[in-house]
Amino acid sequence: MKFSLFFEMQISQPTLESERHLFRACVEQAELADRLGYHAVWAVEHHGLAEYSHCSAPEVFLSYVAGRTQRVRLGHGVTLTPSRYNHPIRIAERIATLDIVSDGRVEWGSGKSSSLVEQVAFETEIPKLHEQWLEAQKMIPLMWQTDVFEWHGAAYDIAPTRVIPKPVQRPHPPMHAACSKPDSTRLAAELGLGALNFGLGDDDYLTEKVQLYKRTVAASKPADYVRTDHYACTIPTLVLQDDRKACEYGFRGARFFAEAMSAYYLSGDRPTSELDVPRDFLTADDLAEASRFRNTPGSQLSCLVGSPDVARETVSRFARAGVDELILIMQMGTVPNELVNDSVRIFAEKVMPHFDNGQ
Amino acid sequence: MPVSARGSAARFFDTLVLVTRLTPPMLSRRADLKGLHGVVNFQLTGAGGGSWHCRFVDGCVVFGRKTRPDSRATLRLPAEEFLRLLAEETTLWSLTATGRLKVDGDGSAPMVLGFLSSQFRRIQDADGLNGMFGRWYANRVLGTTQRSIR
Repeated sequence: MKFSLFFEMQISQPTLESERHLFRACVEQAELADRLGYHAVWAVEHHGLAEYSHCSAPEVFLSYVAGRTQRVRLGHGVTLTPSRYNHPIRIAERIATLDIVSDGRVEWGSGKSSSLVEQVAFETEIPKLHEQWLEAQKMIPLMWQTDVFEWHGAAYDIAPTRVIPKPVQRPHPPMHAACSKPDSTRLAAELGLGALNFGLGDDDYLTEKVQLYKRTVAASKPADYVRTDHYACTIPTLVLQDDRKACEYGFRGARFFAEAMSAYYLSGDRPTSELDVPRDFLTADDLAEASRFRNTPGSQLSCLVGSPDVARETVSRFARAGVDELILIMQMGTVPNELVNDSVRIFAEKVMPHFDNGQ
Repeated sequence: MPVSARGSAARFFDTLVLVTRLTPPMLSRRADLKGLHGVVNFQLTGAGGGSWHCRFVDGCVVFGRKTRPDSRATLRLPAEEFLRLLAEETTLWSLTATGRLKVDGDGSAPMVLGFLSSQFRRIQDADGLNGMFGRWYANRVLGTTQRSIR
């Protein structure tokens, strides 16, 4: 199993100063990940989702990280491919450039955005987002592999054009897609793409979903690009020596992450002021109950919080389900950066050696 | 007085079942329902509990009594906890993390509870007739129209 870090770039109740600190802290964590042997650092693309994600220009962040690191892979995912966000040619150019400056370290993920904030701000045609994503997903690898690219489709009509530069990784960087529901996971597999999922459900559910993906991707035969057979789970994580402290800060962070996400994705609103989400520590009862419930039968594989012993047990559950990569969300809005750094170190020293980390 | 003593989870669902029968499919803002699909069963245990289901079809949601065998998931939780969720005294994350919410089937189905509770809050804050209905409905379900303030 491989282990990576995930950057939404969250801040609870941001100020201009704390936002600047956040970016510096994330760069520091990416450098730490590079030194400690993590597989990749992933950076998302979101727009206007204040507090939940301040990572609106991942190509800039990752370029900077590329220059400050030596070996860690750069997960550019997911890029929003519908044209109102990013024209496919611009995506192909940026990913290829990042692959060149990082000497072939890019993993590319694509998605279409399901947040009303983004969909409305960029004046997208919501019913057409899926079609645009699908078409761009097919076009971009062709741009990387052909000298003169030409396309005539439902969403795009592109005259013969030389799309340059070309990526270092040949024929192209590994490609992934955002998916969390079984249907979208199946579609990613049918397209021969790696699956980027949020951790959801219990062991049986996850195992079934991974098996569905693995069966389907094995049978996929993409005509114009190389198949990526890779199932990744993204989960809120905090691992500290002191189990109680990890639970206090980790559960609070995981709850902030989930509730901030709900505010943007489930409310049907387009929040433009401070989010109405809980930011305080869990009550003593909830903390005790949530701590006890970890790794018990029926518990959800939706966060990885606790001491190294507890974390190893949780990671083993993902490994048994057949997950290829755990993308750890340690940087959560309410977790102090010093604790994130501790967690990045402790996880690398006390948990990763018990698994192979793809080495 | 705790919300479990003054409120009724059954009234939450029974009102929606009635509205489903009387009006065309509701909450039909497609964007709101993006990603929600199929049938989800609810089994609320304890005082004021019962069984219901909701079905998402073409961007609309309809409610019915009892569970359905063709569901993609069944969500089980104490009726009291469901009321606390509606009253913003707990969160969906806490219900899941503490094991008070049990999920059989599709692990993404708890999002439906998040959707229902956020729409419940939203309609109380609406203007005009929708808001009047929302506050009447909240009073019927929670025994108060006052949204809690964190």
